[in-house]
Amino acid sequence: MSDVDRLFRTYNAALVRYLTRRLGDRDWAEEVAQETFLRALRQESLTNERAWLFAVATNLVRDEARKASRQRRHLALLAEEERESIVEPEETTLERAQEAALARKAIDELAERDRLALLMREEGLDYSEIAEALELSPGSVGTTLSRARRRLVEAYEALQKEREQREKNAAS
Amino acid sequence: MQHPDEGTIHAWLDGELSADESAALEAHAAECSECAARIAEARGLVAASTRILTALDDIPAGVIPAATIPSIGIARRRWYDRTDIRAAAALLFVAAASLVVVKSRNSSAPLARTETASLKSTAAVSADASGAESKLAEPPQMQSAAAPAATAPATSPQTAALKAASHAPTPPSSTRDRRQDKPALEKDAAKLGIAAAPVSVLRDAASNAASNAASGTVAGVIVGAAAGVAGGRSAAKTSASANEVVVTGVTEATDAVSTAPLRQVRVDTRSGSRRTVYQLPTGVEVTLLEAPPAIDEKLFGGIQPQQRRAAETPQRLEAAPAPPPPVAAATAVAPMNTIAWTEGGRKFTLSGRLSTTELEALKKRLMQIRR
Repeated sequence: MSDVDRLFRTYNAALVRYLTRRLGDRDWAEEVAQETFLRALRQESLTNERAWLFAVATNLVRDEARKASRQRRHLALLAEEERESIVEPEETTLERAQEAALARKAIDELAERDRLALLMREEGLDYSEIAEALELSPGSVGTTLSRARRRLVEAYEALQKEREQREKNAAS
Repeated sequence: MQHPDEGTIHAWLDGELSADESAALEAHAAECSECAARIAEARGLVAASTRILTALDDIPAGVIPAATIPSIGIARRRWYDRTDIRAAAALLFVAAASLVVVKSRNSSAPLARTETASLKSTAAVSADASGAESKLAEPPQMQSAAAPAATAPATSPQTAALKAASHAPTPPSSTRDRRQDKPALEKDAAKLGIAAAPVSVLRDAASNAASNAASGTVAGVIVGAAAGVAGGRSAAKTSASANEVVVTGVTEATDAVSTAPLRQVRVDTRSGSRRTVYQLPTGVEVTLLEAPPAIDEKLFGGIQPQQRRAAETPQRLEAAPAPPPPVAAATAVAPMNTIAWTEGGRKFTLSGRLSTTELEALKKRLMQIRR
């Protein structure tokens, strides 16, 4: 069992963060991570551990997401918006909640593959690992990431502007 | 490597290129203002993405800065770095130098004609900012006009050349070795007691010809750091008295930058960004990159890829810690510099082989053109 311990200690945090960012739901993320490690147990050996773990986690998300994607997303958005509307005593928290909501919406605007590649990159996976996990050609990872980053930033800034406009209108 | 595509740039930033590929990209970026600008933009995107994604982590209390501190990455210029103040200072230099010139001229015994020429030329310089630009055309013309005779009656060819120069369309001059200019310039300037303004780019189109033609005359209008303007380094070398040399400050150069005709070479619009390449008469190209609203406050320099932290360190964009690729400084070829700013919510970067001061001057102009 020490091997799974090792795997867990090494990769769980990154995997959960990756999944949380992808799913917008920490509980759900931890469930998927757990399932991923369970599957790892069944493997004899893993050559490229990190790539494998992220690939499995991604596939699990895909499968489950297909089942309930729209409902979950809808609920998640509602939750975000509700969080937004709560007036927090601490300004930092409110602002951060707002940023999180914006980021959530922005990242949802990406194509799935672009989104996943970017999230993996943020967890430190190199191009070969990302290529393996997502079944991409290694040469296309750079292009995928460049596109993902640009679209994410553009989406975020557009949403930010929208919000500022709303706030301006509300104030006047 | 010719113009790396976006994917390659990001791969480079992510440290995924081989050593050879990296070297090729960096070498290219040192030569190409457009790609330098694209690299700067890509850096911004990488940093902004990370920042946005970090917001998705529900980390409690105070870890994530609520907003990017505006002062990071924005040049904090010292008061005397302001272009208009430098302009005033430089003009004062010119005025003072002119006085010195006149006085010393009176005391020595030069040809009366050359005196007139010298006064004319210095007056031309101080009065007309674009005189710096006309110096550009001057050397070539002076070369043909007065090359042979070392002691040619400097007045006529020179003033004729000057006149011709002011009317002639300034031809793009190729890069010449400016190393000779600088020491002579500073030496002469020192004699004058005037500090030579930092010369970051000085191209001498025909220093020999210039010195030949101008021997015995003043017209020692040295355009310091002209944006690629050929140094009209007329009397610097051969003039008998060093106090005939008038050293103009950086601002003459920036004035030249402000008035030299700009040619728009190409425009490229993709995914919301707009990339325009302009060419100065001297052949220097600059790239203006206009990005969708506020991509990232932290557009930073720094040589190595994957230096996300590098965003925090450069205090002033103007300090140009390094243009994106490493460039040997103090060589005959000017280093690539990049400045960045925000206006109307849009991010701009301007890159080119100019000093950052010249880029700033150009920026004003380009922003006006855009309106």
